[in-house]
Amino acid sequence: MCMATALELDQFLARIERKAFKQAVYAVREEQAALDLVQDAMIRVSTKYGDRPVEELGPLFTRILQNATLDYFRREKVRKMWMSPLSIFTNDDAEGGNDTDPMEIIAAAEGSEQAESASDKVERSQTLKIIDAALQNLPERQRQAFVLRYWEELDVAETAKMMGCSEGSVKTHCSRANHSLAKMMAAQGITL
Amino acid sequence: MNELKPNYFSVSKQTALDEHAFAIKMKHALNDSAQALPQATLDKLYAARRQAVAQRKSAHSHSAGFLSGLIQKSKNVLQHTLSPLAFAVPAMVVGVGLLIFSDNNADSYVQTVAEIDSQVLTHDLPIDALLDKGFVRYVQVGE
Repeated sequence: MCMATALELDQFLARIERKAFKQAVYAVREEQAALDLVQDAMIRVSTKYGDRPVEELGPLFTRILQNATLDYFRREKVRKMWMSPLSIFTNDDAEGGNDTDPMEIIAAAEGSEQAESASDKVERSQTLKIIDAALQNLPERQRQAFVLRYWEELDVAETAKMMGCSEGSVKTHCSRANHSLAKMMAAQGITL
Repeated sequence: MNELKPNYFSVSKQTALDEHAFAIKMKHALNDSAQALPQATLDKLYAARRQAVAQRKSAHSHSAGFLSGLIQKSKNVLQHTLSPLAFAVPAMVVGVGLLIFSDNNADSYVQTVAEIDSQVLTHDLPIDALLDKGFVRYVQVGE
């Protein structure tokens, strides 16, 4: 197997960047943080594994992004632990206003007369937003299993290895994710 | 709540198949969603990609590093191999030299003793006379 050239590396990153960004957004629920995670993962895969064959880069990048996301959650947990005693001095409304509740997005889309009467493009865009919100609203492990298994198209064993759990757990997470997603979307009148 | 569920969840026999079909449809929807990113986000991703590729661990630097490492290793091996020889060879030369010198010394001593012995044995006086203390005293006083 040949080492990836700069062009191949560029093409590889171009191929996965959108999906990686969406996955990061589903996980951290913040676009800027997701961009930072993807950029860090890109730089890491490039500096550490830029001389590897291009076939090996996919799993490496997925692993790096997963680890970076976990690190982000750990940092956030520590930050919140230190910030929560100080939160009584801050205005909750100011911070709360920036948080996006996926269920609010779903609720906003539901029954919207404008959405129903809009063109197909707008309707499709709304549907995608609802799907995004539903996926974002899944428990972390369920979403991780669903994304790796069905979006990244890893098999059960690879997904289990990536998640550090048993194959049975992967199947359980995937099944629950499927049911939860279907239920959330059915509640919005969307059937796939 | 049951009436809100799509049909494919209501038929228990087809649950596994429906889950798979549902997941495939979700995958297509997610791909569409990924393709519909705003231009500003795409620009940022492009910039991130360019930055990452610029910092790529290149094959050239790898091979250069490999070569320099190989040279350094060779130097180390040579140093480790030669350094004992550098001490051992002169030491061996000195040792051999000392052996030859001492051997020559022993030979010359033996030769000297043999010459004295032959002179003594071929002298006019008998050996007993030389061993007699009174005669030796007589010779010393006489001189």
